[in-house]
Amino acid sequence: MPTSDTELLRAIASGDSGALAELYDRYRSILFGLLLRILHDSAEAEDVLQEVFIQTWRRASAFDESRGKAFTWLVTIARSRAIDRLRSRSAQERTALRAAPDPWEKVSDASDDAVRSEEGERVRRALAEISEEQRQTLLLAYFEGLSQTEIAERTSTPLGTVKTRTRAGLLRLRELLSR
Amino acid sequence: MSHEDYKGMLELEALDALEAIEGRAVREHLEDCAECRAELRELRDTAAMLAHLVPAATPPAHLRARILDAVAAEDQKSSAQPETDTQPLKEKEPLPFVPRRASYNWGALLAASVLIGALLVSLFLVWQRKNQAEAELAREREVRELLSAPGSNMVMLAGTETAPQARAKLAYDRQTGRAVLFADGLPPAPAGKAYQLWFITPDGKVLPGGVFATNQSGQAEMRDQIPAEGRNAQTFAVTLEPAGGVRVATGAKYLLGSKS
Repeated sequence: MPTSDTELLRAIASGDSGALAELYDRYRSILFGLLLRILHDSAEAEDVLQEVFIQTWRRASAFDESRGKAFTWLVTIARSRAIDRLRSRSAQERTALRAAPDPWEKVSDASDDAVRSEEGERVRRALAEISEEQRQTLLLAYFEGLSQTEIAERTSTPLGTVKTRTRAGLLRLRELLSR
Repeated sequence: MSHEDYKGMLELEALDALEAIEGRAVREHLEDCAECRAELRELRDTAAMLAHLVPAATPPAHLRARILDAVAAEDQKSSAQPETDTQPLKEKEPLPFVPRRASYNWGALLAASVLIGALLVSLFLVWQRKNQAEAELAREREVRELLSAPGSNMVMLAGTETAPQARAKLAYDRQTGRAVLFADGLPPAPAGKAYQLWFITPDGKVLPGGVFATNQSGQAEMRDQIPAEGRNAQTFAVTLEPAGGVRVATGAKYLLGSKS
């Protein structure tokens, strides 16, 4: 029987580096894809991926299953570290990155379907059912790490509306994904 | 605020999209509210699903070995000579911890507001120069909110002989462990190296903090979460370590400061 993520994290907390290697093999591709998407820089994505697993090694004992899945824990570490790096870049660099396609546009292009995971398909189908505005707000918050105020400025939308869209979008996404 | 108010903020918290002060209020509420904790757990799981939207990409094969080597090296260090490794950080004897009384110390309050004022002014000048209006307003707010929290502290770190030009400010909240470090004048870290923050408790424990890099002007800004056992730290240090960070400090100290 395959070992669960939580069991792996427990083994890692007790100093089992083989368990760390197994967890790495399990999630390296999705995490690396996420880091590339946020950072648009392969060398930086590698550095952050290394940091994520070293932090996992150092802090596995702090993982608490009652507060979320192991996958959520790893993705959260990776995303927040990547966004910290993004924010330390100059305004000029960040502006240049805005030209990058958002993941929704990229993946909804039917010709670009080389690697499509089953989970990815589910999320894409769910996102297709929520409104364009809610989707855009969620993606800006998640992949660009923009604050609600920044999203309001970027999209020329009142702050209250942005907050409402974020909340409604995430709730609707949860509902669609639980079907 | 009522339970319903907090509940309505959980979606934003799940996306780390709350303003700092709201985030702190929500996290305090979460400590007492199992219902909101369960709700937030689900919302975080939902938010993390967005990561599946991105096409998976295989990292280069050498990275796996690099990570496992780094982890093995950490272990070797910590089991081989834990005492000598931690020794250099204990140069300054930590001051005994004296609990703060609840009554106001006006002198300290005045000094704190001068410090806060000076911090805000210096932050403002740096930001103005860098012309990063959007992100910086959020940062200023974050520091102000961090410093206005009941358990807030600020420590100035001075450059050691290794980096006499370096200095840093660390603002943190003893209750939540949230911390922000602003450093200046650090030499650029060599390839494969990065700076790491350390928390030294009154009983001499040296706890690892976050790892960071500087920009080309030697400035750095890092958010960290101080582990619960490190929140009574009296002394703080920054060392140069392998890029991924280590559990036990090995490198030269660049910055050092104690709580006054």
